[in-house]
Amino acid sequence: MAGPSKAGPALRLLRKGQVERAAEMFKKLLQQDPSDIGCQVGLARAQMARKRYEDAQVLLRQVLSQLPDHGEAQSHLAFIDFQAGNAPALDLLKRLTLSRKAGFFEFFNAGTALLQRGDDQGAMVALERAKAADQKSPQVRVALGRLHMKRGEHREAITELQKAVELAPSDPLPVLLLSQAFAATGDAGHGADAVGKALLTQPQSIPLHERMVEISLLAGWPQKAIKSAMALRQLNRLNPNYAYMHAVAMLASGLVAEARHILEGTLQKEPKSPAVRQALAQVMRLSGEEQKALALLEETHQLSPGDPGVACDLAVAYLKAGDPAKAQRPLKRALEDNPAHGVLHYDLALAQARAGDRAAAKASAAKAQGCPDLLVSELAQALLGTLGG
Amino acid sequence: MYGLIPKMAAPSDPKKPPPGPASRPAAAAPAPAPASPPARTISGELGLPALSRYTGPDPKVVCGLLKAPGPSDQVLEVVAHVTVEALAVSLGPAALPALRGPVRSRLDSGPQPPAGEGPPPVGGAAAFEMELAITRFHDRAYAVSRVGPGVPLGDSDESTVTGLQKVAWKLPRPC
Repeated sequence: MAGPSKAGPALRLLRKGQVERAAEMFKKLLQQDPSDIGCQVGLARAQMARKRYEDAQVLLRQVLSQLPDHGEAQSHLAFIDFQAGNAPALDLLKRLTLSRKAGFFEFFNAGTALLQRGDDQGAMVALERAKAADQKSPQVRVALGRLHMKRGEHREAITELQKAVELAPSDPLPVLLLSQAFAATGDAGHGADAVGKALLTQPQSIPLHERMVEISLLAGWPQKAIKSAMALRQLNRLNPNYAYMHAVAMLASGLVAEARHILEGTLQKEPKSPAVRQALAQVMRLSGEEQKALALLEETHQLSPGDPGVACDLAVAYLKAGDPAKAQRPLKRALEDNPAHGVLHYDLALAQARAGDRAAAKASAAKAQGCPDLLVSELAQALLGTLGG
Repeated sequence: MYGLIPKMAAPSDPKKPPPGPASRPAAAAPAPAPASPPARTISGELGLPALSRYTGPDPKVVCGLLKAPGPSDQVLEVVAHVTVEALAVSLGPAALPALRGPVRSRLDSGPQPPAGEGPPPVGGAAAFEMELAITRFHDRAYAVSRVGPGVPLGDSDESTVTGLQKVAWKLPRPC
């Protein structure tokens, strides 16, 4: 076998994320010594990071021609085969994890393939062993965090994702996933804190600001939502979505006139948007312009009969006018497009109960009870209690 | 709290010659100095004109999640409920409030297109796609992993100490 590898400096570049420079250095070193296994493996890793699987395969086969039992090279080759649709390659990936010499990549590749195959339990075992082999890999933490979230284990997901945020502080992805996990546990405040910290180091990150608007609203901190909505509008002045988010944050903050002004401007850019029209109708109603709001809602319902927000607002207007039968029509139509929408089910239950159809009302209220929105689920539960359900 | 928020004026470029006769071509007729642009503010896009005072009720907005977040959702489905002056629907002895239409927190809430098939980005900024970001993040593991290649690295080992420094460390210290 040849002498020690000269891969060290190029590997260090690779680990800093300088993949292109590292690949060039590996290539130069391989020109000097084509049998340097460290450089072959390093360059193969660089090619896999760039999804250049064919180039990686050539290098990995060269490694195996010199060291036929090189576990990492065998694992990468099997993983590439699996990605190409060769299902039996998964058996080899699993078998490689059983070796006493198995290292990080044997476990990581097997875990990833098992996740893709839908074997969550097997993936969990493989990824946990990958974590043990490399405690500092943010990728393993993110994979484990997502897997825990998929299984509804939000506390465990938060633990893994918090570690991923520590290990990859300049990437918005772990923070976005962490804030999702916090939101799923009803702890939006901690989610907003995590996003806020990440924004200190990534102040221009559009996905982080978008998430900040959402999660701050959820946490009941509309001022933070306003700040991020304004940042978004500064970062991209042409996107009407950011103006709309700004208006919603203003409305949540009680700044109705300001919200209306922004919504009227957004409506000029997005004249058919049911979301803008519905929000505008709500601020019109708050300003005492009931008839104008109703006319806007009816026109919007004609344009977008499946929109849930518009349907609910119309139903409330018809209930107020004492017509529960008419109130049910827009709700039932919108439920065709949004069969799991909690507010539609709750308002329909109220309209059905008001019309005297208790059985239908109970069924609708039961569907609303499962809504993740606490306000809706609590009201649905109260309604079921009133109906004797 | 939210009036006209002035933005800082762009700093002048010190390498550029100041406008004036010296910077003009000799043959060019003296042109009138351009009118200085108005101070940049965000009033055009983000600022608000003087609005008539809102005298209605506090909307008492309560926000909630429309859908439990999944492991790779692009957005949180947050909705805002305006709860003030809720219509109380009488049901025998009890009355419960009807819920007005929840206001979505963003225009494009709803089914997301598959990764790479989203609408063209508005305003030129590249759209963030969660699935794509997750794939790229995952693939980076092959580059940034700290585990060795399974072969001795010899002189170019991966510690930050160079070969020369190692030799120096072994040399006897001068008295």
